[in-house]
Amino acid sequence: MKRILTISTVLICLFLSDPAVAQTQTTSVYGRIFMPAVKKKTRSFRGRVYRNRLSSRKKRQKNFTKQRTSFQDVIIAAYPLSFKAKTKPLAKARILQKNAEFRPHVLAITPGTRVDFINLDRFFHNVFSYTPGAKFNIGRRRTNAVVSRTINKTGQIKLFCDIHSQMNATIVSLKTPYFTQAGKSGVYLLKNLPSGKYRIEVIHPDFPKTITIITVKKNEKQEQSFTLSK
Amino acid sequence: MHKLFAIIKKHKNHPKLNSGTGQRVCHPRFEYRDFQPELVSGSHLKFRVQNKSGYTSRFFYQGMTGAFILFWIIVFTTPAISQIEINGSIDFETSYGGKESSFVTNEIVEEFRRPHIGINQFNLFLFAGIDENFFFNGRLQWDTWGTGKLNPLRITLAALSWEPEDTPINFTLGRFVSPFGLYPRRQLASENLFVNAPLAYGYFINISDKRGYWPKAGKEGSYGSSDVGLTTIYFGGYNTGFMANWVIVPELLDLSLTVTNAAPASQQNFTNLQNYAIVGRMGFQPVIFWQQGISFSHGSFMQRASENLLFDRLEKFRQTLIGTDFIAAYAYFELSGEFIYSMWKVPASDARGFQVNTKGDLQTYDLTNYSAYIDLKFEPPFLTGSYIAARYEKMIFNDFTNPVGSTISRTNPWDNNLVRYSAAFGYKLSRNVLFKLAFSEQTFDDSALKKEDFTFRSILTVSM
Repeated sequence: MKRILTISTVLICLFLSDPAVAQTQTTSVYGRIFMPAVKKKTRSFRGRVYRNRLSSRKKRQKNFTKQRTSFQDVIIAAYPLSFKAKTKPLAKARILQKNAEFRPHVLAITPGTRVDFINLDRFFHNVFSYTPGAKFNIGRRRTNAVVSRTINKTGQIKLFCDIHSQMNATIVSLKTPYFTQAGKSGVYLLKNLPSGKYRIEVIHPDFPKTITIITVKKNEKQEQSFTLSK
Repeated sequence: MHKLFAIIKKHKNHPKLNSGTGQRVCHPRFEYRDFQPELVSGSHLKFRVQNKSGYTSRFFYQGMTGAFILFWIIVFTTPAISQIEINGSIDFETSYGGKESSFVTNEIVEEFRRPHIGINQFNLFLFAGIDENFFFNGRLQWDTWGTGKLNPLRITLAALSWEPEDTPINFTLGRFVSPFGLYPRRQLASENLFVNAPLAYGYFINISDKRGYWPKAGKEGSYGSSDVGLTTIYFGGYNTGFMANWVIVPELLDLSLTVTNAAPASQQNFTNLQNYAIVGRMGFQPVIFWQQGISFSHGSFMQRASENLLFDRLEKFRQTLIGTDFIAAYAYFELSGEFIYSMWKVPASDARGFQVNTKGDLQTYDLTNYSAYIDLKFEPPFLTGSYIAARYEKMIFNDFTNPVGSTISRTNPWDNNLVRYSAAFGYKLSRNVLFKLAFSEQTFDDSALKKEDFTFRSILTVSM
């Protein structure tokens, strides 16, 4: 019994000594992203002229591209500089293909995450990537088929569909557990950060990375806005 | 949470939104209408032009400097255009053909049959959204077809289309990709699995648009400088006229109907006779892994030329085509193919001239032929970006009956049946760079006709 109590005490101590747990849950960084307009490509010359004619513009009216904003493609990642943070693969990550678009357009994961690709259209899609270190091709997949690939590389992995040349998406693989995605209006919130010094990276596939160093203190809510430019 | 709302409220009126500094900040409400200053990013150059309506427009330009010519033509002739996208491709070729190579039989010009490196094609593609519903598509092409040397620059595609967003029907006017069959939609080097076109599109038969049935077609002279006959369907894959495309059930059934200035066999973008043709294709996708198309066409194809000046009403000679095409695919495999049956009503000509009846009118010959090909493609999952493909194709010419009084000495059938085997390997070095290596060999049914006309071709196609 004593042994069990001793082990439990040690484990609780170790758990509490983890900076992510030891610090208060209210420490957060928030702010807003500013950036120039980004052109959204929904059709391409070859797709229109040389490919299948089975789809009309009518169906695309309610498409995802019109609903989402470019702000939702912005990933804000915090890399701790004053302590080491363990990065675990995400339990669930998936990219859907619907109305000839990838959803989400940008997906943030950690290395080792298994990403599910699901075709929700009535026609074929494939997903391929030529990014060095993350080359793969899942081939043509039927509706509702789930095909998974584990992403071990860090950085940006560009995804395309060989059948619909206008389709593209980006997986942003981050070696930090602290990241978030901006909302429709460009507002973001990075919460549950342990106090310490961080390198904040703001990533958007169409813009150069914006980096800044900040220090967050216990129970602090820090505002940090970013302006992206080419 | 209150603080977050406060931030949103604060930045809604952010001074930069109306700062007039040029670096306008994107607010969700302005995202599709707000414009940015000139930017240079990789191969993209973005231009700003003020049109007549005072609405600022964006132009996207990629590729070679020569595109400016077409670019500015469009800018000045269509001032209401809100967006232009120009991109291009260049195909470098290394080819080697058998000693009896000829453009009209295996697409390799005899003069260039020895292993050599050359430019196969330059393309500039243009896509312009004129407004919400009107679009313009163009292709400026510079190729070595037929001669092995760069032909004059020409516009092979120029079509204005009306695609209202709330209807399933769209209309196109101009010179557009033929709806007939499958190959016209796969004619670009980046889409075509092989280097050669299928026999129905690349093999010249004994029918000429100046002489009709002409047994000597392709036996002498060369493409571009003399009459070498026609392919069953023009290898360029374009039609000039008007097209309506109706998506009856999205992703299930569509119908394309066109009225054009010549039957698909015609290689001209004009007609100097009262020619017309109808071309149509119904496409359907019964299940996700199977797409099927049924095509038809009927129309005139003859052209007025010095050879036929003495005769009138050449429009009555027609080509009728019935075809079906399919794509069956799953995972890393794709099976595709076409079957085309062609019926010709043609005059006939030999060394002594046109065949005429006792009244002095041109005699009509009823000729038929069919061709089919089947392609198998496999993308090895362990070598991302690569594929291997094999093609088997056959072209058969049927027997015909000479009209009474005909003196054509040619024996049946009216051309030589043949089989072609092809194999190809392709590898994408990057998303826009494709390398292809293809081999083909063809044999005639008539064992006395032994020709050394194999092809060994590689293409490096770079799309921008």
